[in-house]
Amino acid sequence: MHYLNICRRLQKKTLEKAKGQIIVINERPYDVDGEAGRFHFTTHRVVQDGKSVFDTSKDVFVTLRGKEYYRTVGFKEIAYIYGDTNESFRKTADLINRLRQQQQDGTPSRTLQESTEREGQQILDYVKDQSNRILEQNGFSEDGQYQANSTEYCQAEPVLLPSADIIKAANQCSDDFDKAQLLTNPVGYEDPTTTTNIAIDDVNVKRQNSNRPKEKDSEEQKSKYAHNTIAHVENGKKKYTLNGGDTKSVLLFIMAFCFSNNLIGTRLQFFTDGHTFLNKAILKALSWYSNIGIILDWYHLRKKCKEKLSMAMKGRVIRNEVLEKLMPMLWHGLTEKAINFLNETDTSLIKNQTRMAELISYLERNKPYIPCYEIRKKLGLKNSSAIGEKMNDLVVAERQKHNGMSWSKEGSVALASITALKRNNESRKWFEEKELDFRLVAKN
Amino acid sequence: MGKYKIRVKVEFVECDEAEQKSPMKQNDGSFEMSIDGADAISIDNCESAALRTSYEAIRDALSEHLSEASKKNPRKS
Repeated sequence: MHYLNICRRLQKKTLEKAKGQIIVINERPYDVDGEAGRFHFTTHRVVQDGKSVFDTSKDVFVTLRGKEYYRTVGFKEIAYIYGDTNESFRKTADLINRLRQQQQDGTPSRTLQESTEREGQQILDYVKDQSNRILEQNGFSEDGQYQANSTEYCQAEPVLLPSADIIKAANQCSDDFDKAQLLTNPVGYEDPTTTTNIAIDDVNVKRQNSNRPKEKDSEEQKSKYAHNTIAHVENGKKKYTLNGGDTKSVLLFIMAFCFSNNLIGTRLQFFTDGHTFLNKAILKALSWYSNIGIILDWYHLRKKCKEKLSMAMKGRVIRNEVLEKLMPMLWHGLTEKAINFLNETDTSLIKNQTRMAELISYLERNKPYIPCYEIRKKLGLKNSSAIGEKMNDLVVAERQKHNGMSWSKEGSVALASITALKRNNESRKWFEEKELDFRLVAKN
Repeated sequence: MGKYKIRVKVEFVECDEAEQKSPMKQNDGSFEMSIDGADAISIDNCESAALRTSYEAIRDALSEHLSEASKKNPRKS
């Protein structure tokens, strides 16, 4: 092996002349930041007729740019996977330098932050490239528009449960509401055996401007949050987490992921927080595919009602009384009845009519996505993206929120990408091969 | 109890032995693990193998030393 012959010669630490070639020591040592600590070693090049014909710093080891260090797989596992995705960059830098007995000349926290963000950005770029490639192979344009003529996707009939099962489930519901009315709810009941559940949500963290703004009231300064979109894809017992800096790109990742995992053909059941922009973006991105559904996540619906009524009603006691009557109607998918109930609420009990109007408008907008949660529960179908919500906590919120820290847009999304890599059990493959399986995993 | 010094020398020695999956203790108390040619020029794999072998040796040395120290200094009851 040519490499080994060169290495054997280099081990002698001498400069040899062979057939007009000389071996020259490279001026710049090769810098490594490893699990063993920071160290440097000498690299060499073979020079013939004044030209470098072989350089171990490029031809044997990974080429480094400027003052870059080569970060080993062991370092990345400790620093990123066990380190700064859980704790602050400063704490992680202190810990790894202490473990490596290199507190003096160890890795500075700022360097750790930059390298982590760079790694996260590389993951995002890879997912983007991979998604574009998969979508292109399946007849999509670069911006995710379906261009092929196949009618297969848009004619796919939604796979729903038989009506007999739904009626049976409705009959098991409490007698507080008219069962015939429950059955008029327009949201379908998907067959769980041929369904892929996708929880998609936005997480905003406190934003730090990467540059000092020139003008005090610049648009850049007005943006208070760094935006992350997290999607949790679940089919059977297998799962995968996708993340990105905006809804549109994450929807493209989801589409590519579904193609790559043979999930196109199953019903794509989305769970959202009812945000109009998000629902519209889903319907637009998947306009080529008819077997999809959107459900307003019960967790978010309840949260929204609580928040809006807290601001609208005069006091906690009145709010709770209204909630007690409102929530069962919504749980049974009787959105129109719930809207009428809110409209007929005694105005003397309302302190902020605007908030009440906002809640009514929210329910009206989301009417097509509010199912009869009670029947769904009886049928064993999902009502809430609890796992998706948990994933938001694990991927972004736990590390990036509620701790007084603020983040740059790029930094926040990059760190979330590494956390998602960890959740998807893809870290080893990524660090070793710079590739991802992009496959559903059993544990996530 | 007398003073002690700690001596460590980690070496990469060229050999023709078969690749080993884990460090093996030698008769002289040192630890060895053979890696293949490709691993020998991989920064990641060299580091991983060196750490595995060294940690094994450190644990063994600490264990041996403290057992000996214990034998020499039994606590008076």
